[in-house]
Amino acid sequence: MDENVLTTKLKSGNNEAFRVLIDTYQEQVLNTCNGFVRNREEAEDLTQEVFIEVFRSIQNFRGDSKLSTWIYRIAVSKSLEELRNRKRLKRAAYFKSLIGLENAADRVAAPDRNPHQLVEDQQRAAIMQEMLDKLPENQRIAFTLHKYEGLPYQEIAEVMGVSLSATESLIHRAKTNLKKKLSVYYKNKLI
Amino acid sequence: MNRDKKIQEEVQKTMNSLNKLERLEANPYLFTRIEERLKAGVVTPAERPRSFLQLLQPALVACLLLFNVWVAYNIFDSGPTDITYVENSAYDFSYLTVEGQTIENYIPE
Repeated sequence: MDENVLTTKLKSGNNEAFRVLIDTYQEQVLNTCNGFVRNREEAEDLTQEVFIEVFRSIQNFRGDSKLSTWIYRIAVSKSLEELRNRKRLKRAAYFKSLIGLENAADRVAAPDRNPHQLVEDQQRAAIMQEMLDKLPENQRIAFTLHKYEGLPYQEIAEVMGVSLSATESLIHRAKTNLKKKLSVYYKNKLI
Repeated sequence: MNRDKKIQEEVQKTMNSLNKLERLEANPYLFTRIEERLKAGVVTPAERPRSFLQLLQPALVACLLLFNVWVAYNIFDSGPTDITYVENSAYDFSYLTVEGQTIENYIPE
């Protein structure tokens, strides 16, 4: 279905158009969210929230950008919100544990890791995720969209609302920072 | 030197691990789940009903502003006071009067 036709039908509340939208974009949204939260269950929950937000906000979509760009923006925004919530819950759980009030509900979902099946590549991916968590937000977004979603620089620039050169710079700095952090990590590990 | 080389090798292998990440597959039931949530009236944070106190806040702020305006009005527009200045044309200067009488009556001799 042509994007303009799809948008018009979505705005008129066409259910079938909404199904087409989900079928077309759910994999991108799921993997984008997973690129941030690295937990399948949470990524699926976030995907649902992204499409609910799309459904509720479609009247506000003016068509200045592509529909996919707009959807990616919502996915990134929801993912970052989830990461902030996680940090907040972690801090709250930490303080609660200090005063002996921690309970099972306070534990934050951990990234998917099956210790019995972790092979070298999975271990490395887990280390990468730890380093990504330490990047400045903009660098993290640009790098995640580029590496996990394979988006071209131009589309990343549109999603983030920055220039193409700013996107290139963010990704370059993200890679440099990641290599620095990994060097420190492995230096300490090999001591 | 060997140690540095080893570190750089590990760094590069870890950076390359991203190229081998598995892509998650779409859930065939996602549309159904979303439809159910929409029918059940999923409330997003923006739509969550505000508490009574939150609804009262604008009214409280308005009352406070009105009160401040009323107080300011009363301070700067206190009406006729007991103290007035009366010009004495004979001596070309003003006398302070208190309660309708000249202040001379209040100066102890």
